[in-house]
Parts: sequence; C-alpha cells; structure tokens
Amino acid sequence: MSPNPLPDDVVIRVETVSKRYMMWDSTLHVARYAAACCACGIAPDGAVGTRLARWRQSLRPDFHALDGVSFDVGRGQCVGVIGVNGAGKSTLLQIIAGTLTPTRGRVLTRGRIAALLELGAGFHPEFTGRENAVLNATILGLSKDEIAERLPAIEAFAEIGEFMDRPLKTYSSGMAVRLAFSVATQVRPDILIVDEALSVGDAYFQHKSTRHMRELRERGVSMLFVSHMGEIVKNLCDRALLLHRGRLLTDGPPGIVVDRYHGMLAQKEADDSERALAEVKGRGLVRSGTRQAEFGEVELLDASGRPRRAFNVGETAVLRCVLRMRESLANPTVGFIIRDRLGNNIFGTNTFLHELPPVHPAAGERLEVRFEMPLNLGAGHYAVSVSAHAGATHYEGNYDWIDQILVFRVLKGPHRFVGTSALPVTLSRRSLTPSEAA
Amino acid sequence: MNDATLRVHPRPVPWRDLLLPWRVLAHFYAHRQLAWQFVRREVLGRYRGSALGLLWSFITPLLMLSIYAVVFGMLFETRYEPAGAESGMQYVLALFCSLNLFHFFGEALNRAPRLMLDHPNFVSRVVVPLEVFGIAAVSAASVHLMISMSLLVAAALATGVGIPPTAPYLLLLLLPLLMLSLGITWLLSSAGLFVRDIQALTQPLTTVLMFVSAVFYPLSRVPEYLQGWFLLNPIALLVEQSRRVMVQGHALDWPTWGLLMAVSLVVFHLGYSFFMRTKHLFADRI
Repeated sequence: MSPNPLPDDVVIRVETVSKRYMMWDSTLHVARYAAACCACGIAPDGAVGTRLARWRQSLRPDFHALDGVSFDVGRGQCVGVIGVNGAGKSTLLQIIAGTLTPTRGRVLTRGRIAALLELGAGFHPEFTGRENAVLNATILGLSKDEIAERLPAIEAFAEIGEFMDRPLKTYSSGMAVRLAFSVATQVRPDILIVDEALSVGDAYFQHKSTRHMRELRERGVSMLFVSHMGEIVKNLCDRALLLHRGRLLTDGPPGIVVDRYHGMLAQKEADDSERALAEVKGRGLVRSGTRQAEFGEVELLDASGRPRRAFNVGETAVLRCVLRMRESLANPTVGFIIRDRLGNNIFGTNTFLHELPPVHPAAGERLEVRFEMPLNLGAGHYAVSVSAHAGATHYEGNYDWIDQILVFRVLKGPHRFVGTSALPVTLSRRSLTPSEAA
Repeated sequence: MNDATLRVHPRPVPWRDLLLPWRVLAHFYAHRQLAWQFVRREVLGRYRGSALGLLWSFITPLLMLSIYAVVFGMLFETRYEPAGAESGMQYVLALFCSLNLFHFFGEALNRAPRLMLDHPNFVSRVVVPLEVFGIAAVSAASVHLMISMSLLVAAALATGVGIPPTAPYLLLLLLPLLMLSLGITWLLSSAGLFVRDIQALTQPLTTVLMFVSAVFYPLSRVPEYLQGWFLLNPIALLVEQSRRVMVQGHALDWPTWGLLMAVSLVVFHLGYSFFMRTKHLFADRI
C-alpha cells in the first residue's frame, strides 16, 4: 500500500516531520496561497511547491515549530516528550494525532489513536456528561454497541456520580477532566496520546490516572505523552524525547534525557537572571562601593565549565568572578555570600579568610577568582551576592558590592531531607540484642 | 494487526473520492454515526438551556408568517397570480412557503463562514472528519424547514385552502436545495477561515438575495430585460417552483428541475472538493 510500510512492532513512525508557520502580512496572501494549493493539489516537495515556498519566504520568513523530527515508537512503548515552552511538543503531538498537517515529512500510525490534546475539548456545556461521553466515544471511533457496552466502565472510572446525567456546565473543571480521561482510556486505544493531561485534576485522580496509564502500558497500549514535569516522565516512561526549538535533541532513557532537560532549564534561567541583573544595574539599587575595582563577569558554572543555574544536591559548582581594577590596589579581597529565599545567610567566604598570598594588581588589570564548592544545600532557591573590598570584611573599605547578582536552584535529590544544609549522613539500623538493651 | 489500520498522514484525498457522488455518499455512510451525533448536537444544542426548548423552532416561523401576512397580504395586497385568481390566504401561504425555502438557504449561507470558527476545538484538538459539520448545519436547517412546512400544511388545512395534489413534488425540489446548501456551506466554511471578511459579507448578501429570489413576487413580473439575470440565481427558480407545486397546484416544470439538479450537483462537488482539499490547513488558520 505505502512504499515504506511499517514494521510489525512499530506503531508510530515519524519521518522527518517539519512544521513551518508562515508569517502572513495580509489575508490576501493567504487567499492566493490557498487558492494556488487547492488548484494544483501540490506536493510541498515538488517543483511547484518549492517555487511557492520561495515566494512565501520572500514575503516573510517562516517560523519553524518543528524541524526534521524523526523517530519510531514500538508497540507497548511509553514515550515521554519533554522540552521548554515553545519547543514544539504540542505541535508534534497534534501532527501525530492528525489535526495538524506537517509542512514536510509524514507520520505513519497503526491502530486506533485516542488523543487527549486538550482535556474536554469537544465537550458541549449544555449536554449531560453521558451525552458528551457518547459523542466523544463516537469521535474516537467506537460503534453504538461498543459504546453501550463500555459506558458503565467509563462512568465508574470517572467517579462523578449523579453528575453523569447533569449538563456539563455544572461540572467542576476536575470533573470534566476525569470524564474526558475516562472516555479516552476506556475506548481501549492502540495508541494513547496525552498532552499535559496529568497536570490537571486533583492529586487523587492524578495518582489514579498514572496507575491506569501503567496498566494500559502493560496491556500493550503504546503511549506518547508530553509533560514539562521531568518526574512524571522518569516515573512512567521507558523512553524520552527532548525537543528544543523544534529539533529532537535527545532520544534515550528517561533518566538521561530528563537530566539534560534540567540542564537546559538551568541555562535558560541563567539567561533570565542575566537579564534581571541588567535591569538591576540600570536601577543601581543594590550595587554600592567606591568602584576603585569593579566586577566584570560573575558566573555560576558546573564542573565542566558550562553556565548552570540548577544543581543537584552535592553537585560541584564554580563561582567565577572577574574583577577589573580601576586603580592599583593592595591585595583586594573578593568574596561572596549565599542566602536563601528568606535572606538568611547560608554560607559565605572570601579570599582574605582563605589566606591567599597577597597580590598587587595594577590599574586596568583583570583579576579572576574562582570558588569551587560542592553545593551541599537543601532543595530551593538561593541568591549569591559578591563583594570586593579591603581587609577581612566589606566594612573596611568597600570597592564594589552587588547584591543578589545571581539566583540558582538546588533540585530535589533522590533522598529527601528538610533544611538548607545537606549534611553527609551515613545511616545504619539494626535490632538490639537483649543484652545490649540492658 | 493488518494494514487496513495503517494510516499515513498527510495523505490528500484522491479526486475520485471527491467527484464520484456514490463515493461521497459512501464516505458519509461510513461516518453516519458520527454525523448523527453532530446533527443531534446541532439541533438540540441550539435551544438547550432555554425554557421553551425546541418550541422556538415553531414560534419563530409562526411569528414570521403573521408579520408577512399582515404586511404583504393585507397592507400591500400583493399577489403572485393574475388579479382574481388568488385569494389573500392563498397568497400568504404561498409567501410562507417561499420564505421557508429561502430561509433554509439563508441559514446555511449565514452559518457557513463561522462554522469552523465556532468549533475551534474540533478543528485543532480533536481528530474528527470536519466535513460532518456541514452535514450537521444543513440537517439542523432541514429540521427547521420540516417544522415550518408542517406548519404550512396545518395552516392550509385549517383555513380550508387545502393542499394541492402536486405537493409531493416538493420532495424532488428539496434534493437540489440540499445539495446547493451543502456545497455552499462547505465552500464558505473553508473560505471563511482564509478570508475572514466573508463573514461580514454574507449578512447583507442574504438580504439582497431575498429580494432577488422571487420570494415576494413571481418571476413573470420581472421586466423582460432583467429576466435573464434573475434566472442565473438557482434559488429564485427553487423558490418559485416550490410555491407552485406546494400551494398553487401547478405541476413540476421538469426542464427547470433538470437544470437545478445539474447546477446543484456542480456546486455540491465544487464545495465538497474545495473543503476536502483545504481542510488540512484549517488548524493553522483557526
């Protein structure tokens, strides 16, 4: 039938899928393009299609929501798609589900797809839960008899009681979500596509639906779902895809992919805090000192030297400061302090306290200081302030002080604990013998 | 699992599925359950939550009938037939029949450009053959047409005017009317997404169309030099024919019917093809 039929154990094949959004200047251009497309029934890769594409580009450059994404999903696999907002996750799911048409490439699927791109999409507020469930099940391809047979199971799973026969407009949002999820999973699809669905609903339902998804997976249902919560992906999936700016960055075990995602988040936060710093500098509110010496760059890096703003508990971080000398100064001290979000001092030190050999930098010289430390801190947000001064503390002669120059985050580790310090605990446990107890 | 469940996306609809009437019918037969659900939703959804519910489908045409009866039947004293050949009641019933038919088309025309925009979730979030919305919209209009036509029959019997034996010809006339309305609905519901201005255009267009569609006067009253132009409008022919068979007791004019069938078949396939060939772009335009 198709030149490249799907192998038996593959249920979804995404072949170099790209989605370009054309940025139109006016409706007239759209109309001309639509008319041209309709008239010729053009393949986008054909000669005419290419010429049309060039003509479009000349109007306004396109926005690439997806760029050459390819992967296979095997039968019974659960694949998580993660990425920051605007990475193209939802676009990808819409294309696989079939509501959106890729600009290039194609998607092959096998079996019945149930797509929950938006929970409760297609519900009519004036109709009862039962009527809406029947309509939704019909859309998902169930016959009349099949619906009659499965309606009790749908009702039971949704747990909305007598609301089943009340208009949907009387539902709380949680109830509508439960009904939608219930329909989508009880139609027993071959492929279940879920977009951020688990982030809604109360904790009980989240737990229940997570469990249910696990059961579906065991029954051989292939799943593809989007989340920006790494934890759920790690928990549920046996494979993860990381999308960034429309490209597939990583495809692999969820643990590795989610870690890379967190790293990316940190990078993004770094950019954000740099922007915030620029604003702070503009206001000049939290910077003080004589400016005989000035901080140039202040960066927080990971062990491999890449800027990071999120770290795992105990991970090594490097605070790198570059001090630009306006004047020649005798042994300037460079220090920092980490504060928690309540402003409590967590840790601080400086070059004076560490008794580094004295230096006498000349005017115009740039002095780099690196503080390398394991971040044995509890999960949460922390702010770093830096200072350059004479002597032991900045009270003696303050050259430059920047408050909260950057903010970083410590992520929850595998072992939960409370507090802001992560002490390296060693645990042991045994039952005491009666003689010891005495 | 066999290859029958294999789906390739995107795959353009082949022309034979668009241009062979039986293939189109087979397509909708395959989706009959879904189409029925959406017809139900469209018909019942409109009045759900209102106190009188479906009763509104009776009240509105009844109100219209009385207004037109007073203004045209009694104040203007217009008639379709030559003087003396038609009673006032007959004129009012014939007018009601013409209006019903026109409103059916007008409803489709006005609804069409908003059809997709009114269901954004179905366009971009739910996988559903969007062409059933056209069917649903026209079916909803058909329900209203049936209700008003039964009102017409009731009124004809109650006033003693009676229903002529030629009335069943109306069913034959409904065929081109349905195809015409469906074709226009599909055409405009797609075009309305790409050119939003169409929405603003259909309202005045409906009014203009009402006055040139021989609703209030017979086509024979149109001056000779304009008649050619008036006959270009299939709705005028439909309105006139329906009034003639339903109230005035004239037999169906077969050549006219043949012409109407031909025109509506072309419009039907044109609209359907345009819709099916552009619908992959809808989600980007919603």
